[in-house]
Amino acid sequence: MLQREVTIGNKLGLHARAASKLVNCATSFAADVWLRRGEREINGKSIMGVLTLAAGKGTVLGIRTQGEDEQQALQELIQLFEDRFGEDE
Amino acid sequence: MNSTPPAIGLVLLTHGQIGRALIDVAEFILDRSLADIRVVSFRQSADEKTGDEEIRKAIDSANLGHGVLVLTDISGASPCNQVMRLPFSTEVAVVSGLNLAMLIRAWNYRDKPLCQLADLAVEGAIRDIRKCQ
Repeated sequence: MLQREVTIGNKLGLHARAASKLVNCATSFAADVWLRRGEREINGKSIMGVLTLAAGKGTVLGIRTQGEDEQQALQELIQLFEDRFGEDE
Repeated sequence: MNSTPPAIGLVLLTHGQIGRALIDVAEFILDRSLADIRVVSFRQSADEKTGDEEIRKAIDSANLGHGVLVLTDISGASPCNQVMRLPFSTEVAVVSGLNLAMLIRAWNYRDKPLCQLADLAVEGAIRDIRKCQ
């Protein structure tokens, strides 16, 4: 199992379209993906779950991956956050 | 999730353009076409027979052979009442209280059996109704 913390950098935060990109990325891996905000952890492959995090810019989230391709899954998910989900700001 | 059968057909049966608008937003969010979902806009002015025909056509066209889930906006209102009294040759489940969360959930789990999908749709819609602040 791997885990890392990320900070949301895009202006709109983890809004619906960004959440969709995250879920599409997560579901492309066999590994289980979990996102944590504070004490609350949700399935990173569920868009409705991701949206309930209501995570705005600056929010720190924990990403946890577990499974045979956990390393690549974690890496690509972190990349999405670092790229601000492809958004300009 | 892929869209390989067996999948349940989906029909949105709503007042005015609610169904169409929800599809547009869901397509934007999910970044994919939801063209497989049939939409029927209930018009108060239309006669009952025309309405029945539209609903039947939508259900037949959505059906992939494993049943159809009809999502309506509000229970007890005409669109919901109309579909409830129609006989169908295929298995049809009707759920009311359509919202965006219900639509996305129903779409994501459309490979589940009809009865289970109806429960998942209801659960998804309710789960998203909460006091946010």
